[in-house]
Amino acid sequence: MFEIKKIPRIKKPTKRSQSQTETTGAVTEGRRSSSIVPPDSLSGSPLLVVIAIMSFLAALTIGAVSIVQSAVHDWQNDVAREVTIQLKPLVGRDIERELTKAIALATDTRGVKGVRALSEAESKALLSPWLGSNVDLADLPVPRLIVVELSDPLNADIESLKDRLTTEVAGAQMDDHRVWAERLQAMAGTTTAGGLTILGLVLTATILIVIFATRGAMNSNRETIAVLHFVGAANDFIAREFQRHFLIQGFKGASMGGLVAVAIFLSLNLIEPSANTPSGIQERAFLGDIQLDLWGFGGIGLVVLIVALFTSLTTRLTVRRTLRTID
Amino acid sequence: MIHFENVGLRYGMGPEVLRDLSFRIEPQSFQFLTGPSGAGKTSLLKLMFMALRPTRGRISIFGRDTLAMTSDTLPDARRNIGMVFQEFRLLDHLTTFENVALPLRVQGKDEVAYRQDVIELLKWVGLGDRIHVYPPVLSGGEKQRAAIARALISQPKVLLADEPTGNVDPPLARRLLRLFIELNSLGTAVLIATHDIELMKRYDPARRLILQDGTLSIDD
Repeated sequence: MFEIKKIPRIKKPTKRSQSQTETTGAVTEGRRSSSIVPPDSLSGSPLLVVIAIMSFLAALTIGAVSIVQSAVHDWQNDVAREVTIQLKPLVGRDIERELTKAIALATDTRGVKGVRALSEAESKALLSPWLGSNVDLADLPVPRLIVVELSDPLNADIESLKDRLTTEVAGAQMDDHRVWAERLQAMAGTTTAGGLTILGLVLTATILIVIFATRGAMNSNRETIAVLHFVGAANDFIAREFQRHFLIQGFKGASMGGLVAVAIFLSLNLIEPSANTPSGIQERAFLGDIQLDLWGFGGIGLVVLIVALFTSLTTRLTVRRTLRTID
Repeated sequence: MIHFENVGLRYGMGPEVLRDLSFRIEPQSFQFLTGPSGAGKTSLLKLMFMALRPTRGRISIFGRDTLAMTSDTLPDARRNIGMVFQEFRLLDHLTTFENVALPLRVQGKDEVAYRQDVIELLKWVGLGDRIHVYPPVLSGGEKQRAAIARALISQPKVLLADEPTGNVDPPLARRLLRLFIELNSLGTAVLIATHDIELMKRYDPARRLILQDGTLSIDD
């Protein structure tokens, strides 16, 4: 049985009482204060798994968009750095002489790094996939191609070259691949928009799930909330406690999902398509090396932070709204 | 300190469970609130603790009308009232130490600043060796003492206790009464809701508020 002694005076902490606390603190030392929100009432692991799945999907989307963007960027770079001059054979004109004139004009143009004319054999070889290898191309008027490599696509005087070719070289036509580049840009835009839409849907679904989980946690913690109110807790304090708990859950789940996505992208690097098989060649030509660049990894990291932050903010708003109804 | 003026209370569309209550709880006073079971003692305590709002009349606590209080001002008012519930209402996932420290923790105080006070108070109520025990393994009497310690830790101006001796044996009930008297002598107003006549006889100077059929009579 306990003995009633003189009631202890509860005092403001002084330096001395703090040092005393440190000695008697052995009873509490090494222990962190328990969370005010019961840990088993937060739909714990199911919520963690759902957040992990959602983050994984979001990270996968970001990664895929990043890879496509990077591939499109590479294509555009390649395309923008090359201009093709096509010379149609005209009756009464010596195509070799026109070819020499066109090469000279191209070489003199500002921003041009190199000019190479495809030989007649190379030009004919380009047609063989369409016409077959058994067709005799000797009598066909096969156009000749000149590949102009640009050192600086932005400052190259392409318009002037185009004008001069039109006026000075018979049968010359220049293709700066603008249509192709525009199509690539449109495709990249569509991919990005699709990725952002998926990302938006995933985040919306995550927010809705967190709202339901928070409401569930609050319903199962009505007694805890009531006691907190009775001991003088402000709604802000209670919201903060729930928010902190869900922030940890959100961060754990989002990190798990993000890490799995990163692991998948890293493993894709290990199983690179073989350069010797037709599908491998096509895949490599289409997407280049399938690997996430720094922006991709950064994007996945950002998704993890955003999911954790959204989880935490959603909890705070839901808790505050629910507390208002309890009041 | 607490002033009731023609207060009435009904739950939903039901009959009035409390009618025309007018009284004051003065600073440093000691009173028992008694009456048969179902007389409305707990409802009256809830009104004083601002867990319920009156359906009519006016309640003023520390000079402020409870009807004018909002969720922003309510916590401050409640921090000046210590409440001991009949069913203890300790949080099972927190240790005895954490339960008792809860009123200080919700005020944002640092544990280093209050750790010693909580330990001393727990020793004072005889729970010095139960500091890290969780409520489910405490006995009824230990829970009651932990609940009392929680109500006292923030040094409230008034302590409201709902049947604080209802779950303990008579010797422990007497010790708890001495604890409340000691607390009162240090300046805290005390109101104990009880129907334990023996307990009330043990402290004659206390005023008695008697609830009967929802109305209150005062025996000074």
